[in-house]
Amino acid sequence: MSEHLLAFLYFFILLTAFVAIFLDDLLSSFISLSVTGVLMATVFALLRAPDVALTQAIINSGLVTSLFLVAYSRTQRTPPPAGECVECPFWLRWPGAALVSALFAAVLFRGLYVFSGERIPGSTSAHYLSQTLEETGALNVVAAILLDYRAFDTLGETTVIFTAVFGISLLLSGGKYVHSGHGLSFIVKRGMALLTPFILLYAASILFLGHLTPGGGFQGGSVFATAAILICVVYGTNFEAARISPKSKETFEAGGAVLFVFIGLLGIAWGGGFLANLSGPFSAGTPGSLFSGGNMLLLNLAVGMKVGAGLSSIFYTMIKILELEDDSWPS
Amino acid sequence: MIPLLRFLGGISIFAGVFFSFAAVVAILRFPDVYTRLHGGTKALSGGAILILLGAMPYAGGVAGALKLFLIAVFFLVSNPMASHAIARACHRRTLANRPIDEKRRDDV
Repeated sequence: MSEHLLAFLYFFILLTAFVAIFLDDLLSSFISLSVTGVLMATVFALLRAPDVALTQAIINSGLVTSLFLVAYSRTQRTPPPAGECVECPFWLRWPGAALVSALFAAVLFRGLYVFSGERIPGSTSAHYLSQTLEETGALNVVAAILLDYRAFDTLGETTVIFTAVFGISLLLSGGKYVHSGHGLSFIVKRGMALLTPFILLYAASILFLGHLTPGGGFQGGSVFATAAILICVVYGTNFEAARISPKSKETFEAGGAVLFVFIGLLGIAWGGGFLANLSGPFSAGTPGSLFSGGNMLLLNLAVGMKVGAGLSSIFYTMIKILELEDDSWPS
Repeated sequence: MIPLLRFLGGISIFAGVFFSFAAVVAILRFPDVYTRLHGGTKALSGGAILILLGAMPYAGGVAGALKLFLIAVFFLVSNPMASHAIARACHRRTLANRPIDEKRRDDV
């Protein structure tokens, strides 16, 4: 049953990806791509990877689509007339796409049988699944891998977002534009006011329970960023900047990085090594309680601060330069 | 009790699928933005909410059913808001009264 459903979903993933590539209208491509993201999230959830499913659903269908839309508003709206546009020749496009999707489909359908097979004893995955609770004190194995076994990689990943924010702020420097939209209508503003506390509560629960349930710093921070983006769109950027100032976002982001590195150095000071968890100054706690898993709660908080503040300030910077143009549009 | 609820849930899911199908037909066949929006919102307020309510007896426990109910309430709040925002934006950009596709307009 699950295999058939997966095969069905794979087919539609390939279909929507094809549609995204071959449509001439960029806006329709974005919509199609976000559908691909939702289907991928469903596949991840069916394959029992709820952490990845959460990330996929939030990042790909929410944040990436909104960033694409902002970028789209700054670019050429219609495709250039035929002849001027240098594109991949038709005879190369279809066979190329068919080849890539055939390979992709082969890998995906092979995956259907790999994951139902036996786990190899002595492999790293078998070790993680059996020893995680003992070695880290966290119930969520994925969080333990991200924040304990591979915490140094996570530091590198969050630095990528840090660099992206730097680059976008440097290129666009949206803070100097004072223009702002007035936001959407009264109905949407009231409705958003009703929903915001629940969105924030959900984000906080994903973030702070990351070591117990699916989720963690990346996912929780992205939901926080989504809330900030929604406030930006619904109430106008000046309202958002008045409530959460861009300066405080920068402080939060840098604070997250400092907190992460500080926790790492604490491990060295204790004699355990960089980012040492249980061999460092942290205790495992009672499995299943909030204060368990050693430094994972703090690391989740640090990653969440970085991701949330970083992504929302990327969006703020990009939409700020968009609203400069918005005044010249007919209203 | 549970079998009866599951039966009702099944009927609700079928009704939801019907609403989703009707919404797809509406988006394809209706002539301009407002009517298409009217059809498109039915996919969520009719389709998704009915399917979620229908899935409640199958969720296995009160906690799961309550979660589905909360998701349905979230849709009920957010979907009219979103379609209102879209309709208003179309109205402002004066797209609304223009038929999307002249050829399609003729055969409706």
